[in-house]
Amino acid sequence: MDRVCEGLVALLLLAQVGGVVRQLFVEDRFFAWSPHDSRNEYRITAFAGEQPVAAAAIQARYGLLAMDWHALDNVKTVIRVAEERAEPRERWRVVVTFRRNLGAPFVWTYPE
Amino acid sequence: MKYPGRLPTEVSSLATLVVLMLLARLGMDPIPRHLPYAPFPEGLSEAAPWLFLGGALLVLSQRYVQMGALLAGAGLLLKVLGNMPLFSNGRLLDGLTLLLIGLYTPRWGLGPLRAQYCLVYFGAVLSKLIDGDWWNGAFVNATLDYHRPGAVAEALAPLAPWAGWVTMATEAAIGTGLAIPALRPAAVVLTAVFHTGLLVLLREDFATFYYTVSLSACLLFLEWPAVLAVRIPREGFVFLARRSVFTSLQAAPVERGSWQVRFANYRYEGPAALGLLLFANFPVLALLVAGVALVSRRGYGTVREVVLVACVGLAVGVWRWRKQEKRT
Repeated sequence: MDRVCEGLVALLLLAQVGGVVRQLFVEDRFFAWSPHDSRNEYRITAFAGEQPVAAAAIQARYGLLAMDWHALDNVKTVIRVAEERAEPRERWRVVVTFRRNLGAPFVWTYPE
Repeated sequence: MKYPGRLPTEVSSLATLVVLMLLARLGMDPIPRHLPYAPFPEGLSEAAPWLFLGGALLVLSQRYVQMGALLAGAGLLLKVLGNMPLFSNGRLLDGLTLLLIGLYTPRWGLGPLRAQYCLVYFGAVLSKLIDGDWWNGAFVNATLDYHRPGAVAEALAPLAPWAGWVTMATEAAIGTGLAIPALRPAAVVLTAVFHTGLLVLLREDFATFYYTVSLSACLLFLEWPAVLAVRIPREGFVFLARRSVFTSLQAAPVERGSWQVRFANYRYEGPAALGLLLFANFPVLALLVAGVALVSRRGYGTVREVVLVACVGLAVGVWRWRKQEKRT
């Protein structure tokens, strides 16, 4: 039993080493011990067809507040994955306005 | 000192204090959205809070701490894995700390838990090293502008690049110091100063992260005694000597002594001994409580602040005991 525990511990720690190293090659910051090392404010605007989507619906679909701050590519990944897993007829057009560390705002849209 | 089971007291205490802190924050997470990194059954995600609660109850029973930590940690980790939007350092660290306690083996001892915390700091440093906004002060300015807008942010703006470099150097020093036995006490002090300094400056505890890191630094990286013997002075704490919630006390006369707890004659094991250390350091504790309450936005009386302060008080007591032991 101890061997099993030790094996799981080794897996957990090695997976984290992988997560830390991975951040050198990707933009998101999942499992890298650094998701909030950049003050990225965002505002999500979504459209179902031509109709704007309410903030509560945005939060319900993405689990993110329509306005908050979070790791930049974490937000993009959440939106991308949530939309890809939604039914095609229920997908939204999403516009996210980011502002990184008090810099100039920039926009990201989905579909990209 | 050992609880029933094979966990060292400091590890059982850490599990207990982390669980207490998390229970104090129940209901503070936003509504989760089941959005896992790789598809897995939504039922697992829905079972996560119950797994945590069940594990928490076992930990608080103080009889099945390791099993409880395993379940609670698994529940927290499932919650993080099943909800991408909820990802945060704090939630992940809480889950991994409890899970690693649940997977504790005598052969590897504290090694995995200590490695976990070193990894946190090295990961944080690497993330900052590759981000130019940490070198030019942009992130520091943005953070100060959010947490301390106005005069404080303006006054500290010229120091922002320095603050970035100092932060990176501090985290690297902490990660390195915690990994080297001879440097651990200094690294623990640096951890306390650094994180408490951030707490005071930003008035932000980053949810549970500050408390978990502080508790773990005290409990995992200091040398705790294998056996703790406590003498109760006649002038005070006699009411504690008569309690036997978890241990059986030996009724023996107490020698006259000062208000400080000296270590002789009585042998206490488990929470009673740790609680006595806590009260023995009351002046230090009172100062710490006042200090934390002053900077806390919620003021006095929140469980998590008390839990943190209790742990710091325990650490202080152990240090003072070891100094005294060396003198005698």
